[in-house]
Amino acid sequence: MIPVFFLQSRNPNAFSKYIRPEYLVIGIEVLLANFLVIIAIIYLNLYLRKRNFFYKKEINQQLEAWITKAILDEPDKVEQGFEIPRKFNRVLKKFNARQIVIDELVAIRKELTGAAAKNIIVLYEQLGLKKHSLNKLSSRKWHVKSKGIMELYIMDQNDTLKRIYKNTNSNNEFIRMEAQIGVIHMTGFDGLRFLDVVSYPITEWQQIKLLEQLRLSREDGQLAMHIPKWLRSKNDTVVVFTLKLADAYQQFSVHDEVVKALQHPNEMVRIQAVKTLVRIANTFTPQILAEHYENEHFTNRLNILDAISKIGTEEQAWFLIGLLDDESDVIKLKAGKAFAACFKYGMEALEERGKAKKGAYQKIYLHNLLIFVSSAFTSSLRESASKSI
Amino acid sequence: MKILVVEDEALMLKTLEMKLQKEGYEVICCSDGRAALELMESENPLMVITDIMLPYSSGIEIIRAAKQKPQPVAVIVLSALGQESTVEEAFEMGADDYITKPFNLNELVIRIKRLLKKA
Repeated sequence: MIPVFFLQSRNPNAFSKYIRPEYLVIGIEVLLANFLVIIAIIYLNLYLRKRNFFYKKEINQQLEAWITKAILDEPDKVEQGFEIPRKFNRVLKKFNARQIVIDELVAIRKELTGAAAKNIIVLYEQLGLKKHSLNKLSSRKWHVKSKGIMELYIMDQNDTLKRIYKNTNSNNEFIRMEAQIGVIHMTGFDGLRFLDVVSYPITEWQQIKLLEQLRLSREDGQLAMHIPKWLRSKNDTVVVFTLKLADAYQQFSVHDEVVKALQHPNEMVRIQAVKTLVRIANTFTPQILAEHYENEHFTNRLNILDAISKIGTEEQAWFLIGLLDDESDVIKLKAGKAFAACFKYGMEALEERGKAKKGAYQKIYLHNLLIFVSSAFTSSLRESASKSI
Repeated sequence: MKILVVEDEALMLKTLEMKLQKEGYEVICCSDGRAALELMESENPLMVITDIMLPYSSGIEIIRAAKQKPQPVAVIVLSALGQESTVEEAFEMGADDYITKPFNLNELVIRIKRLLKKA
C-alpha cells in the first residue's frame, strides 16, 4: 500500500514524510531475509524427510531378508541364538537405525503368534533393543515414554511390568493409556488391578481399547470377586467401566451390586447400570427397574423402558399402562413398545386404546404393529433359511 | 501350486512369502489391491491370501474378482481383531476362510493345505 502511494504521488518526496528511505531499504532487506529463511527451513525439512525416507528404506532392504529368515528359524536353532551378520551390528550402532528395526519388529510382532512371535522376541533381546526401549521409560517426553512402554509390552518383556504398572496412574493421559493396555497385555485380567488405584478418568475410547485387549485373554473366574470393590470406587469412570465388564462377561453373581449402582449420584453410572442389568437380569430385575423409574431423569427413563421391553414380564403391565397416559409422546411410544413386547395381549390392548382415544395412541399402535410385523417377518425368513440349509 | 499373497506391511509380506516358499508353494506377492487384481488376471493363482485394508482396492474387491473367475480361486482373508462385520461381508462375497491377526504361521499353512485339498 505504502509503495503504491509513493509511486502515485506527484511529489516524489511525499513518502519521506512518513518514513525515511534508508529505513524502507532496511525493512525490505529484513523482509527478504525472512523470506529466504522460511524457504531454507522448508527446503531443509523436505530434504531431511527425504533423507530419512531413503535411509529407512535402505536399512529395511539390508535387514528385511535376514530378519525374515530369523523369524522363520526352527525353535531348536533359536535356542542357540541368532548369528548376527557383522554389517548388521555396524548398522545398529546408530540410534535411528535401532529405532527403525524396533518399529519393524513391533509391527510384525503385533500380527504373529506362536514360534515366529517367540523368534521376534529373541531377536529383539539379542540385538540389545530392549535397552533402547528401557531408556525411553526415563524420558520426560510423553510420546517417547509411551512408545517405550508399547515396545516393551508388545515384546513381552514381563520383567518390566513393575515399571509399566507405575505409569497406569500417570498424570499424562497417553502414558496412562499405554501403561494400562500394557499391564493387561502382559497379565490378562490380573492387570485390571490398576482399577484399585487409578484416580484419573478412564475415557470412553480407553474403555473400548481395554475391553478389546481383554478379549485376547481368558477370564479365569476371578472377575466377579473384584467387581464389588471397583463398583465402590470414588472414580466414576472406574464404576462405569466395571459395569461394562460385568455386562461383557455376563457376571450374574454381581447382580445385586449392579442394582445398588442405580442409586449412584452420577447419571452416566446409572445409565450403564440399566444397560448392564439387561444382560445379567434375573426374575426380579424388570420389577426393580420399574420401581426405580420414578427416581430417574428423562434419558434414563427411556433406557429403563427399553430394558423392560427386552426383559419385562406381565408383572409390569400396570406400570406400563400407567405410562401410556404420560404427557411425553416419546414415553408413550416406548411404553407402548414395551407393553406390546411383554404382555401377551399387548397389541390387542393397544389397538383398542387406539380406536378409543385416536390421536397419538393410534400412531403408537401403528408404530408397534409395524415393529411387530417386521420382526415376525425377519424371524420367519430366518426360519425358512435355516430349513433350506 | 501358485499362491498370491496381498499384504501392505513389507516385513509381513516377506515373512509370508518365505514361509510359503519353505512349504513348497510358488508365491507371488504384492502390497496393494490394484496390483493384486492385475496379478490375478495374469498369473492365475490357485489361492489368494489377502488382507482386508489395502491401498487402492480393498480385500473385498479382490474376493469378488477371485470368485468371478471361470475357475474359482480359493480365498483366505487376514483380518484384524474387531473387523467382524468386514469378515461377514467377506464371507458373503465368497471368501473360503479367514484368520484373525495376530495369527500363527503354522495354523495358516494348515488352513491353506486343507483348502487346497478341497479344491
